[in-house]
Amino acid sequence: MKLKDTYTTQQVADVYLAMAQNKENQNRVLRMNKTGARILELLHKETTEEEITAQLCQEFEGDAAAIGESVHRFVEQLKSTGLV
Amino acid sequence: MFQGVYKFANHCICLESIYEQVQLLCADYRTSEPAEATLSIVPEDIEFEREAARLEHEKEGLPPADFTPEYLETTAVYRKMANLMLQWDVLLFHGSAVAVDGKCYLFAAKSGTGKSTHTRLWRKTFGERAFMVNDDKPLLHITEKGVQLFGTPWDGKHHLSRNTSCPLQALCFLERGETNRIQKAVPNQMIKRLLTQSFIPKDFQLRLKALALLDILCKQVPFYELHCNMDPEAAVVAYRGMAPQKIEDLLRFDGMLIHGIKGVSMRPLLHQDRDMAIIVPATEAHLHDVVLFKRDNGQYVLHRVTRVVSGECVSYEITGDNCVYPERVEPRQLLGVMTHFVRKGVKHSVSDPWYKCYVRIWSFTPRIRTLFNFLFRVANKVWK
Repeated sequence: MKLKDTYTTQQVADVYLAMAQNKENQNRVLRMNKTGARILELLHKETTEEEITAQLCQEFEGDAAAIGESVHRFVEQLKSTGLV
Repeated sequence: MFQGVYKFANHCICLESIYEQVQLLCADYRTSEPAEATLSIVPEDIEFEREAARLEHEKEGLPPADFTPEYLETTAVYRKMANLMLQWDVLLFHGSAVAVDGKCYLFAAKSGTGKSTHTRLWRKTFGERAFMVNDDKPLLHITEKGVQLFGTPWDGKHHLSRNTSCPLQALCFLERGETNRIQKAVPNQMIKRLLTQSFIPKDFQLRLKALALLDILCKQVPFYELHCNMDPEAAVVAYRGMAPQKIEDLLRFDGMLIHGIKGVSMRPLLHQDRDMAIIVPATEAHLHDVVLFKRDNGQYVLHRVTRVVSGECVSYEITGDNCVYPERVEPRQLLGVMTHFVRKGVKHSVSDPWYKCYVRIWSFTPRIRTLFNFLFRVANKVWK
């Protein structure tokens, strides 16, 4: 799976705002935390949930199962809005 | 075609317009300095503003407005200028900005909530200490060193603004409430409101720049959330929540000040780290009163009136109980008079008989203290 569009993320305070570079989606702004921003970054290349989870386990502290669950929820949310 | 060079937020822009109205609007900002950039309006810009206004009114459920092309050109200019200014780290923000004692407080809220009404209360409360920097769309120069807020001619329906700038002390999101209360806000929770009130361009790169400036704004300026009604108390509550407290304001708003003692100048009566003074506002004093006054250098002092000097204008000779030399103080410098002091948790009144006895004895000691002071200095020199 992979993002359908290219997003650039800008941090404002502790919130990450992602915007599509595509003019058609220019009004769409995604709001997420640091982990979500990293997942979005990884989704710019063809990848799987397991690969994302493995990468995050290296970069962030936490239980692998919990990280996997967060990744799954985040990806499902992106899928439901047609971004992936 | 009309043309002029204007200085906004310390940057000079040459403005070329179809109509004269916008040139007249910006008249106070005209400059003879060379322009750093040129901003030109074409008929398509005015049509863009007409369509944008129509969509805005539709969204708000308002009847369609019939704006003149002259008026629409003024909004077109400001929109283009807002885009242009981002290259200089300047961001347009929708809010009402009032300055008190040279520091600016910016109130943000949806249109119609009462920003202008609230800042009017500030001007009423603080009188000459306060003025409006801009009542609608100020410019913020945002850097890692701080945020400076600038007035602009786009100053709302009451035309309240000044061609000046002040450091931004706080950003306050305002909501109507039955009672007045203010609390510190976490920037993360204000992001949506921040985005709504800031100018976020359509251009992708400029949009990133605007968000980057908002990130710095969050770090540089404290955010607050104010629920308020239209009572004058709202301004006092807001100010006390956001501003560093001045002693004059504490006396004025509370009617009383309880303050710890610093230094040794009021010994043996008042000791640092042991005693506290209770002071009430006063503009005149009597002999032997302990008064709070402000020196011309800004220093606050609590000493005793040792002489009332009558004449064309009354003045006071004021000395610390542990001092020898008096200083002359005018009534305008007086802030308050001590009515009680607290020692080890026990409150003592200046009306207490033992205190009056102390004052009576101590009032005879200045000459003795002068003598002791002289002898002490001589002894110091001899032993050195």
